[in-house]
Order: sequence, then structure tokens, then C-alpha cells
Amino acid sequence: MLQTDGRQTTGMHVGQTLDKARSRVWRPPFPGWKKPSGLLGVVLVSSLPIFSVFLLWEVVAQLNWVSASLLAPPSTALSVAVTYFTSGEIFPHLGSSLERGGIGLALAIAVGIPLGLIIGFVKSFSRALSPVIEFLRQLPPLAMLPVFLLFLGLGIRSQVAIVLWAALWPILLNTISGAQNVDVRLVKAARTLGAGRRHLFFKVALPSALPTTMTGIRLGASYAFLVLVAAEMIGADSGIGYLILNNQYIFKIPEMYAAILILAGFGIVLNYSLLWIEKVLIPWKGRG
Amino acid sequence: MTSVVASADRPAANAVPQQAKIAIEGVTKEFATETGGTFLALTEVNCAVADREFVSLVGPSGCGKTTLLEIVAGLQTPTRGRVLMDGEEIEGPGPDHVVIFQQYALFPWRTVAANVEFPMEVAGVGRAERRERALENLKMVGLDGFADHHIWQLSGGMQQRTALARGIACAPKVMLMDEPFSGADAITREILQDLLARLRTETRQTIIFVTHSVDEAIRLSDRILVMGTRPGRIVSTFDVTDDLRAHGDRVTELRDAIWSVLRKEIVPIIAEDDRRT
Ligand SMILES: Nc1ncnc2c1ncn2[C@@H]1O[C@H](COP(=O)(O)OP(=O)(O)OP(=O)(O)O)[C@@H](O)[C@H]1O
Ligand SMILES: [Mg+2]
Repeated sequence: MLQTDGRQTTGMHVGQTLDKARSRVWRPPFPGWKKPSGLLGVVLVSSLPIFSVFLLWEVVAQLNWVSASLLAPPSTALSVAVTYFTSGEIFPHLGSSLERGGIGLALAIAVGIPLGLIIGFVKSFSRALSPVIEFLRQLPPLAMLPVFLLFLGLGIRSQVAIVLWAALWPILLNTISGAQNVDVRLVKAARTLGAGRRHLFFKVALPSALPTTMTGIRLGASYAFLVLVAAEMIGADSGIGYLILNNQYIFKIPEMYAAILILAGFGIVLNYSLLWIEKVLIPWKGRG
Repeated sequence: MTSVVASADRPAANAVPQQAKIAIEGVTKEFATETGGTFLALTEVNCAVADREFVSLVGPSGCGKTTLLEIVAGLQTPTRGRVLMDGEEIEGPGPDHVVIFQQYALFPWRTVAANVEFPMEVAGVGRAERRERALENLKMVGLDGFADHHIWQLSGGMQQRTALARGIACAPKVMLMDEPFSGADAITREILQDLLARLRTETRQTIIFVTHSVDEAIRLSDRILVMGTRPGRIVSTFDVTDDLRAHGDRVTELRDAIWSVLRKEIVPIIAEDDRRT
């Protein structure tokens, strides 16, 4: 993942005050360093490393240390990327990547969460099914692509299938472990409060598993993203992955780098959206 | 308050409902050990708790207080013996003999009010009614105004109040409490004890209360059962009255008496552990 959740895990200490629970320790990276203040400072500090990388890339390309047939400067790549958007040329590719990725991920969520909850909740299920799951999850998604192509043909269906395959396992496994590791104290409490098995499933196991499930979804989304790009390079005639490889075939090197930048931006947006969804959906995460 | 004397040989048919709210009859609990043997956690525990009585269980750590309470709660089954509530055998956990745990066990994904609503929700009470009743219960524990707070926004004492309100919301026949205040600091603990004493007079609740603190037991209960260890069993019973509580010297006397029983139970453990090491 591009960013890990930095929130501190605080236990349910008695007398823990609001302020204590929210306080975060900030240590200077070296003595004398002042904590950046204000939005501008934060943006500056966090964009410094990435800016340096771009600068280095620019210098290397501009001074022709690497041939222009291999490397285009980021300034050119960026301006080409902008033209991709202004001309609208990128949208069909973005659209089909989004469609395949979105449908595949949605299916993985729709299958993975209920299945994972049931397997994790019913002990005999998890005992019976875990060997099968252990075997299937070992199959690398790209190794499954020929199979999907054989059955589903060239096109969206096999692309969706491979995204589904890649995203399903982390979602499923995380949900299973979430449902298995429900706090026993909460289960006991719920039972003495009158909860039956159905209530335990929907009102205790499901919300308890949600934080781990969400981690699975974020993991699944990043796997899906990687696999989709690769799959588009092998068996598609549109999509960002296809665009990158095709640009290389026809020696449009700045266009290739532009497409890579767009892909990276896409990944960042995806990750931050998922982090945001997690925050909205699971506000209690890491707060005991 | 009349305390009912329990005896193991009383036939079940004679356990008249009005007599004992809770009757613990010959409860023995064995746990399987890793070496394939059995560990005797409780042996032949007999006890009757009258309606509206407040009974405390005190005893050294590991004497089986939690085990006994969870058997009464229906969360564990006794190896031998049984527990009756109003003359009927307790077969599982349920809201009419709800447990208040030391670690509150609140649902972190629910707000304060939604936690209190939980038992009504699973019992099928309508949305508006359970909200209204939850607010009433929160008022009783002094948490009005915190209904829509999140659990992590509350102090430990407030969390335990929420757990209390949730327990009251079950309208239980008996409330089982396992060291509910032992996580709290001294001041919070006093406040929570006062709150419980007040709630008890308001709701006329039957309570079985596990504690490590002899003073807490003296302060709150009608009767104190002192448990011994290895194996876990009840070794002494002490009655407490408001009259006694009003006299400092008699309280000291009672405390000393309880401690002398406890000391007898603790010393052998220490000696045994010393021999092992
Ligand atoms: N599930 C279990 N399996 C095996 N042994 C157990 C189990 N539960 C409890 N015991 C043992 O039974 C004994 C009584 O445990 P219990 O938790 O009831 O003690 P307690 O009086 O509540 O102690 P404390 O005051 O420390 O809470 C202990 O020796 C404990 O190790
Ligand atoms: Mg205990």
C-alpha cells in the first residue's frame, strides 16, 4: 500500500481522557528540526522527496545521459499527460480500466465478505474449507489468465475474472480472520444481553470483522490494480495497461511515460479514496 | 432481610420460587488440564440468594469467583450440580440474569445510547420505544447528554456507567457483576459504588457481586460469601446490615473477621507456591 494507517492503537485504559486518546507524539527526524506548521508547511515537507525524484529524472533526461529513445523528461511526459486529458483521448482507456477493475473488485467484495463471514463464524466450515482455500490462493492470478482466456475469451469478461481472482483472496482471508477473532468478551456480553446466533452474526461478528475486512479490501484493490494492468498488456485492446505497452510498441516514448504517470495518479487516488471510506465507515478503528 | 440458608440435601422439588431467587445446588466444576487430568475449580458450592438480596463473593485470586458467576450466568455449565432461578434451572445466558463485566464489554461501533438499546433491539422492541427507554436508563446512571457520544469518547468510569445502564435495560431478575469497579481509580470507584447503591434502592434489584475488595463488599452487600481456594468453595458467610455499617467499630470488627478467614486461605497458597519454586 502506498500509505499505512498511522493512527495509534490505544487500549481502553480506565480514566483515559478525550485528549489523551487523541494526542499524538511527534518526534523530530533530527535535533533542531522544527515541526512544519500550517497546510503549506505540511505540503512542502511531504512533497519534497517526490519533487527531488522528478528533478533528478528531469536532469538525467535533459542532459541526455540516457537516450531520448529510452527516457523522456517528466516535464514532457506531464504535458503529454495533460493533452491526453484535454483531447479526451485518455477517457476510453481510463473508462475501460475503471469498468473492469470496478466490476471485478465489486464482485470480489460481494463474494468475499459474506463467504468470509460464514466461513469464519461457523467453525466446521472453516475446518472443512481451509485446505481448499489455502490451495487456491497460492495460484498466482496471472497464471490463471490463460484459463480465463480459454473459458471466457478475449475481452472484458476474462479481465474482470482475473481482477476478481486477485482481489478475492485477501478480502476473503481477512474477513475470515476478522470473524474468527471477535473479542470473546463482546460475544459473552451479547449472549447475556439476549442475542441469539443470528444476532451474534449480524450485530457482533459482522461489525467486529469490518476493520480487518477493510484492510483486505485495500489489499485486494492494490492487487487488482497490479494484475489488471498486466492483464491489459496481454489480452486487451484498451485500458491504461494496454496504452502503456502499445505506446512502447509504436515508439511513442513520451506518451508511454505520460500513461505511466496517469496510472500512478490513478493508484494514488484509489488508495486515498479507500482510506477515506475506511475512516467514514469504521470510525472506531484503533480506538479500543 | 432474611438470608436463606442453603443446603445440598434439600430436594429440588422443595425449592419454592418465592423462597430463593437464585439457588446454587451442589455446583462442582472441573476443567480438563493439558496433561489429560482434571483440575477441580469449584467443589460442592451451595448457596441461595433471596429476592432483592445483595450478595458479594470475595476470595483470593483463582478461587473460582468468575467461574461460579459464569455458571450462574449460563455462560459455563457445571460439571455437577445446578443453578435455579425462581425454581427453574438456568440453561443458558439471557437478559433476565445479565452480567456486568469488569472490562465493560461495550460495542465500540455503537454509540452510548445504541449500546444501551442492544438488549431491547434483540428482544424486538420498536425503535422509538427503545430509544426512549435507553435515555431513561442513561439518566439513571447520570449520563444524560452523552447518548450520542462514541464509546471511545468516554472515560473508564463513564464506560462502566454505560454498561450498568445497558444491564438495567435488560430489566433482569438478577444482576451478576464480576469485579465491575476494579478497573477504576479510587475516586471513580467510590462514585460508582454510590451509584450502584442508589440504583439498587431504586430498582430493588437482586445482585450477585464479585469483588477483590473486602471494604467494597462491606459497603454494598447484605451478605458476604468468602470463598476458599484449591479447590474453590464457600468457606464462610457474613451478614451485613445498615445498622452495622453505621458503627465504625463494628465495621472494623467485621473486616478483621473476614480477613482472618481470607488469610487462612491465602497462606497455604503462598506456602505451596514457595515449595514449587
Ligand atoms: N477455561 C478454563 N480452563 C482451565 N482452567 C480454568 C478455566 N477457567 C478458569 N480456570 C481455572 O479455574 C480457577 C478459577 O478461575 P476463576 O477465573 O474463576 O478465578 P477468580 O476467582 O475469578 O480469579 P480472579 O480473582 O483472579 O479473577 C483458576 O485456577 C483458573 O486457572
Ligand atoms: Mg475473576
